[in-house]
Amino acid sequence: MKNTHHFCGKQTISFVLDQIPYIVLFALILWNCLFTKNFFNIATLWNASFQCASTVIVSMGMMLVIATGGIDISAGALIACAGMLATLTMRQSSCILGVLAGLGTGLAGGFINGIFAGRFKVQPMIVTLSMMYIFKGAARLASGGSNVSTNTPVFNDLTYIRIGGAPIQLFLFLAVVAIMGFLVNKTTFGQRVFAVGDNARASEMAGIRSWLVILAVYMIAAFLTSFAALVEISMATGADPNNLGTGMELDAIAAVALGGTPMNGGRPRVMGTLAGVFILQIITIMINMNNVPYAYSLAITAAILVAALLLQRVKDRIA
Amino acid sequence: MEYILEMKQIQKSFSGVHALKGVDLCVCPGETHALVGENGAGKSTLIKILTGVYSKSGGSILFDGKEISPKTPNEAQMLGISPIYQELNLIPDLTVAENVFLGHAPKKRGGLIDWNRMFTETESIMESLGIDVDVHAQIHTLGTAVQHMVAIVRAIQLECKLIVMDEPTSSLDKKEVDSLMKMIRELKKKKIAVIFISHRLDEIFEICERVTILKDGEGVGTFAIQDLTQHEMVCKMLGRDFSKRERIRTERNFDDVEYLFELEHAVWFPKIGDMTIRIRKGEILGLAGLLGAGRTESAKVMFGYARPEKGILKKEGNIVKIRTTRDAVRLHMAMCPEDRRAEGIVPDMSVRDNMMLASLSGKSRFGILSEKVKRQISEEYIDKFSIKTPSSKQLIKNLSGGNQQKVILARWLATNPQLIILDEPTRGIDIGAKGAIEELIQEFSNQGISVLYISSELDELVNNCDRVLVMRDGRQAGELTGTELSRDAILTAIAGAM
Ligand SMILES: Nc1ncnc2c1ncn2[C@@H]1O[C@H](COP(=O)(O)OP(=O)(O)OP(=O)(O)O)[C@@H](O)[C@H]1O
Ligand SMILES: [Mg+2]
Repeated sequence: MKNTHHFCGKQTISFVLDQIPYIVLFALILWNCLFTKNFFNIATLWNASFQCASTVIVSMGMMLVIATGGIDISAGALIACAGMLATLTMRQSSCILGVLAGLGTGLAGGFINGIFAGRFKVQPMIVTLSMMYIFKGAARLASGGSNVSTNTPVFNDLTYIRIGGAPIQLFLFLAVVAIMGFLVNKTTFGQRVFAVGDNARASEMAGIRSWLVILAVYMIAAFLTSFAALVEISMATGADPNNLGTGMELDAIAAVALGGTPMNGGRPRVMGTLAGVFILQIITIMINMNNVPYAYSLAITAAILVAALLLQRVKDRIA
Repeated sequence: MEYILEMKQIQKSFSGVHALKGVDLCVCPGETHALVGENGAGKSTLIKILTGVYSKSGGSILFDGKEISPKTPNEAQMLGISPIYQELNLIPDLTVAENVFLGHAPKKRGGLIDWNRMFTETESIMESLGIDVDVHAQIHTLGTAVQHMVAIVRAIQLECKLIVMDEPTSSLDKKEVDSLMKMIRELKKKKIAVIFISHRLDEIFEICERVTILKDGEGVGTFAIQDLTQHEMVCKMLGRDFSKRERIRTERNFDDVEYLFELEHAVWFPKIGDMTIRIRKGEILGLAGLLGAGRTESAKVMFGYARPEKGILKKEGNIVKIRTTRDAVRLHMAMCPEDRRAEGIVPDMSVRDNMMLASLSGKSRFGILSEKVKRQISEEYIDKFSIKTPSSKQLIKNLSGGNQQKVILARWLATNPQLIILDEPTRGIDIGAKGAIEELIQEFSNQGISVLYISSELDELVNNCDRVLVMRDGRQAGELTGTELSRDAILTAIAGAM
């Protein structure tokens, strides 16, 4: 017996694996600072905030849904639908009513998702897929298929508010992240989400009504998504029923996966998810600034995503 | 004597936990070797190293004369070491024979499966072990004990030389344990060695030739069974003197005490025919019966986890609505489920958070439960139950099985219940802790808390309960109180001679 002190490889490895999103993000930033012209500039941050604010907001909701073991693929379509209804309402009445219409659409849609997934225990994939069609259809039907502009300067101008040079979008998504961090890590609701995702039967035996938790989670997710829709229409001064929000759910799912929230339910990782969005965003910027075709950016994103999921599996295996 | 297995100076560290500090384990061919020790002593860790689930931090393993160091369970299997896990990894929809030959079915020329050979070979192994099972039956139609046997037959078919069983009997009833014992004797004749982990000493004295005792990750020694008495063995396990308590229960009369909870005429097809359970304040009521008699189901109905077709629940004489487990928690009921892995623990959560799971509404303010409260409560129970964990922040899945069970118990005690339903609370718990839990149950009852105690261990029921209901086929088959309450009386009632 030479040594009585042993390092435990596995525990160390699993700790390092938890840090992967941050390491990757850091590496990407470093690489770009060194090799991408004009990257090391505060304007890059402001631009990125513009571009990824709504993705961050949607991802935070998606993270909760995934933490309970579900998925919401109606998010992108909800952006189109909530955005369109908000725009149309704004045109016809007031800015405030438009905002309420957008958020209301989200809450209603989330309620339907949550009731079916939680109470009636329908596969979340199927429920939200159906809702995706409904949202898409509703957006086209309401607009007749063409672009509509808000015609509400008060609302559109919100986009350009800057505080100390930083765009309002930065503060919006940071606020959402902060609230989510509090919700997940400090409240009993956060504990319930974690427990239901990790072992639904045990949670029910412990007196947690899992269907209510699931309902709440889908409603929060859809509410955040419709909030993101408002951010988007304000920037675009209107809604395009065919393109608004397209693919947003995929970006959000990718960010959550990159961030280390287990895809079949478990501990939600707020900062990881934020890092996940940044990683995806930096890849896009990198590609743009270096004049690489868009298709490559998709391929690189895919590669990073697969790598992240592989690492998650490695962690499950050794834990 | 030639050993088939020699594990020498095995060490294992998890970060912060030195689980094994140089343990020796030697097994002879054809021997049934017991491995005993307190919860968290390191038994499961030792055999997980042997079967390739964990890698060792030090020491050496000689198997069949060769030094081995299996990296995966599959590798261990190829070497001839087969684990029989608690959660059997059989495929429920396949037949017995298909499961036995899973992954290496006999082939005809041309690569087609030789079904005839598969069925006849399975039958012949079964016959040689004296088991009578239809090899064409699907696994899910068979009982747990039979499934265990199929897993063992599979191991034999793979020509293994050593079978490792980690608490195989904890989810079996008496009759099933007997047939498993019979099977282990057949294995002896085939010169297949068995490592047998159990907290039930009777079984060990019945079937094993030698025993290795672990304490706190160190080997206390290996002894021939006939050189030890049960009492000596327990003292060596616990490292202190231990006196087995007889019936703790003082003769108490509950006839004048009012009922706290009454479950009346519950019907839940097909498990419960017509069941009435009335429990008095401060009373310890036992539920006896065979596996599948409807005990767990009755408890689940009472606790609002299952919705019966018929039946009402009364609390203190008033009918109460109970539709979910949350209603039950509101009515101050608590329930420790029997299947702790599936219905108890939230594996990736810390010990602390697991303990607070049932108190999330009760102990929080404005949806927030302060870390200080959590820490205080969890540390209190860790102390009280001597739960082995480096800290209350350790993930519960890293605790030993028995210690996980204690955390679940603590989860419910923290809710200050008036009625505690305990479904096999001592399953997988070592003798020392069992005594502590039994004492605790008496203490509850003295404080006026009622206990509904489900157990397959008749001695436990007789020692602890004021009254025992015996169930058979979803109905009450007998009721025993006071002096009529004895092991034999329960057995008679179970058998249906009343
Ligand atoms: N993956 C792990 N990470 C950290 N600690 C662990 C891990 N697995 C086991 N331990 C610790 O190692 C010790 C031995 O655990 P083990 O499961 O071997 O006990 P055991 O003898 O099988 O107990 P029981 O009778 O309760 O099943 C315990 O203190 C446990 O907390
Ligand atoms: Mg164990």
